[in-house]
Amino acid sequence: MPGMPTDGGGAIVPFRGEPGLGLPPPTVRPIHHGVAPPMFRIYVSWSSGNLLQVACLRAPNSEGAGGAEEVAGSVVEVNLGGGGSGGSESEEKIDEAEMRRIEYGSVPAFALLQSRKNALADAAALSRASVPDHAEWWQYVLEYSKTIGSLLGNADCPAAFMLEDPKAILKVREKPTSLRAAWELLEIFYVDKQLQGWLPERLVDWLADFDSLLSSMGSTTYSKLSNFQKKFINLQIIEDDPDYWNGLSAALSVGWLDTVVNMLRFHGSYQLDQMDNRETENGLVEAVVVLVSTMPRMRPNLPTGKLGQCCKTRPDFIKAWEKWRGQVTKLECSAFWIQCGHQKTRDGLKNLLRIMMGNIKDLTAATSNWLELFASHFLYIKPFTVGFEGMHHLAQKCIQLKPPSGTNGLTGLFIGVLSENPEVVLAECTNNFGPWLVTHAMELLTADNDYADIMLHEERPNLGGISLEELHRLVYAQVLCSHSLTWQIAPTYLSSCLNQGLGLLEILLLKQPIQDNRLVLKTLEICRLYELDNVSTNIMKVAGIYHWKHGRKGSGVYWFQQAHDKVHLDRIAQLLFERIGKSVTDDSFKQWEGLLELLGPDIGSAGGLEFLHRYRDFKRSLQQALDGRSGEAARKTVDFLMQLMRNPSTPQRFWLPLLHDSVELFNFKPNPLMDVAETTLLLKKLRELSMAKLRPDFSSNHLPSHALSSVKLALASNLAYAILEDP
Amino acid sequence: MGERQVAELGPGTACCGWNHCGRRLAAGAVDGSVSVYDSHPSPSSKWQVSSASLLHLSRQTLLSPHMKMNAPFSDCSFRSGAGLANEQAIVNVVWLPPEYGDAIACACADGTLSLWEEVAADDQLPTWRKCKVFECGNCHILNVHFGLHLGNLKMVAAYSDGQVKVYELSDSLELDKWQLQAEFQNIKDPISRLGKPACTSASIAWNPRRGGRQQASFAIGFNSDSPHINSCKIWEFEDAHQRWLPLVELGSPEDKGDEVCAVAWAPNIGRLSPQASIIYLYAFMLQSCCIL
Repeated sequence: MPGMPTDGGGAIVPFRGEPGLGLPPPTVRPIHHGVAPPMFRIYVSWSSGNLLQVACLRAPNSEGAGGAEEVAGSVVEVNLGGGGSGGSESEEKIDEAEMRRIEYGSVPAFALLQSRKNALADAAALSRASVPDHAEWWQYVLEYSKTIGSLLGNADCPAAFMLEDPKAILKVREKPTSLRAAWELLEIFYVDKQLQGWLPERLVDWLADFDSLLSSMGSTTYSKLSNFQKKFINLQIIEDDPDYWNGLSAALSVGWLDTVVNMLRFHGSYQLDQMDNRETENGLVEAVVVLVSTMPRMRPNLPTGKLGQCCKTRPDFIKAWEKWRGQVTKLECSAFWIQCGHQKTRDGLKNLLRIMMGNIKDLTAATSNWLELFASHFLYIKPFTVGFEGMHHLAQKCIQLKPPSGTNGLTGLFIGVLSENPEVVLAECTNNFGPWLVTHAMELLTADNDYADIMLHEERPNLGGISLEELHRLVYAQVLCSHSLTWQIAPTYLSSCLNQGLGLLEILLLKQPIQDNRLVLKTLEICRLYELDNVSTNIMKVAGIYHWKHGRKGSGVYWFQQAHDKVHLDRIAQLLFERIGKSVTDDSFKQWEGLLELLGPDIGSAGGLEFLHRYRDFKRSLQQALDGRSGEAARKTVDFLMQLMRNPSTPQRFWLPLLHDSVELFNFKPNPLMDVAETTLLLKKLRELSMAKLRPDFSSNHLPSHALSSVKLALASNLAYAILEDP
Repeated sequence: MGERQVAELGPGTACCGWNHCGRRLAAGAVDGSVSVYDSHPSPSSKWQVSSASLLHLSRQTLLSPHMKMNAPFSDCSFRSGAGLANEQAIVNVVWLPPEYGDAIACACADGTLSLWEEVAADDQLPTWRKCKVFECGNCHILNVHFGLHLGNLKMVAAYSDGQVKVYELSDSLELDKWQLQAEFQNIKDPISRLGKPACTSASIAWNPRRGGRQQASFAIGFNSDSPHINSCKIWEFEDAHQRWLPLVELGSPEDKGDEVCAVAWAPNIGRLSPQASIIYLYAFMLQSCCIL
């Protein structure tokens, strides 16, 4: 029977993928919730990004063995994403704050490149004949790559304010990260076309910068030298130590000429007290130093402190190379070796010469792994190796000579690049360097590679119709969404995903809590940027109801107005109207005056608010008239009163309170404020009110019982005075 | 891969539910109390005893030491049910959409449903207020779910006799005025109408798609003694006839009639692709899993 719980797993819902179908087994992730069985209910809910919230409940009535101390239920938040930090080796994982700095820093560069890409595409669409300018695009990508590269740290700059130790073999530098190593590698191979001719030397430089990262593959030149450095301080006769010569040959084989020269100068024969006895020996050491320092290098320039002769063009290099090799051969055949008394010096120096001559056996012995051997080929055997095919072939040969003992993300990436296989490159990046690198490096892969371009942009039905590029961007965006400090930058990436990005962006924005006003403003700003008017209206409505319900009526009205939410505003206007109708005392007047101001005159189709505005004007004026006792203010108040009483939209239940408020005006001395006609109108209204009182639907006002009679009396006396005054 | 315990639920917790942004969790207990856990530490989330609500229990924040850097879940509790004298276990807690404030619906073991909302007066700490109690005589309300359609809040309630009732809120500011809009049984064919099936639980999911033109629709499945009632169906409101019609019945012949334990819609994120119109729905049944 399908779906029966299996004996072993106890799964309620079995996985339908049969082993024979070639589907990968489902990933099972145990969650440590700390709730003892039997489990009663499990609730699951997606939070933002990759966060999943799981609530595990124990049967409420179960009598567990642990008694009261047992946990009744537990809520666990699980981050299903791999996290943003790159680095394949756990020991060099970039810490979260540093990764966030990189994430934030890379946003402007990414956005600029996308906008340039769109601008170029638009220009191409306008002038259909012309294709986008490739040269220009390549420059843009290079600029992007340099910007991102600079975020990952500068391998060349020494750690700040470090005093140079005279006995230091290796320069103290900022610790390189594999994220930077991977980025530079991709830049060298895919973007920097300007320096393509000098590719071998660039790889030698790359290895010099990042050799220390290859330690997971076994020993490296870097590790040999740093081990020797520790030993060095305690050594009496340095040239007697085999590690000295091993370090020298290793450093020379990978082209660290300055290190070699530096180390050779520590040779005992340089010491003043030994100069006389070891003259020939010292001469030989110095000769090697000169040869090492003048080694021809085919590269555009040499940074200060680096040794060698710089040859920019191939003919120049060939000439210098022939001459230099001639000198090396000459020194090797020199008669002075016989006079060199120190056996280890003689052997060590000769070994260095053989390395310089490109002896494969010695190079293989001197280097620590296949990548170092690969670099030494460029330096001493095949300085003109160009093209991916040739390099890949060479790499295969090096791997055969020095089989790798461990795996490393960087070497995997290297092989992927050389084998011209963007799928492998992408897979290596995904597995070893995290979604940040993948998302940003895709731009490098497609800079000038049509195959990678098609591979990344092809819409795939098995991915729900999205392309690989979009998939990786979405994955990265989800990682950003999973953290409250990075979700704000996710929209940049989501908006670059044409198929599913905007939908996810809407979900992201709608899920932001609205309790914090600053956060709401931030969310609304993002909505404005991406023209998500529906979403911003929704957020404003939600914020409005939240503030309204939590006692901040003014903020609530403000947000409803921003959202143009007529339904809520009308309802609030009605509420206000009803509340004021119940009690028109001076205390409540102050309370609703502000709200009334906020609501504005346009709200309220039933004319309710229009009435309330007039009523407010009347109340204000009345206050002034009673305080100041000036005839002018009193007359103005009467005008307001007459307007209110004449207006049919003034509800009947307000008549008596209005008149009662104005009793003092009716008794205004010495001259009556109202003429006969006005007073008669008010009396008529009073009579109408008395009739209405008999009807069952009449709502009584909370006025003193004598209110009606006092109004009547005041009006009567006013009428009397008015008749007397009437000309 | 990160994993952290964000809250420990109190003894007797029987059900829980997250709000729309996943930052608040309401947990109902067998003693009829509901605790609301909040992941945002702010002065307003320090709950205190208030006379306005029926009962507030102060509960200490439970956290494991390594989580102190993160936002702790503070909580507040209040008692639900038909009344204090009748303390009924809570079987389901569901949040209302955020457009209607912070409000929850609690289905109790005695079959009543109560709506609660968080309110505060000027400069005072928020309290939970009971807005409405739905009672239904002989049968029980098993579960409810809320959805928005054309700016109106609708509530689908599943009853223990297999009835489905759709209510509409008639006041946008208050949660106490509801109108019964429709009442029907979860069956596709009127001929298969049965007498009185006994249902123990129901699962409801409103179609979360936003946008004005979209027809209101929801999926519902029961756990009962009647296979016709059980099977998950998608109901859609037809404007022309002003009534709810079963759009589709889910399930293959082999598992037809199995009890439905949970239904949920997948988020529809594709906006521009033609697939945007395809419905994704997950219905987990007791014996098989069906994903469309």
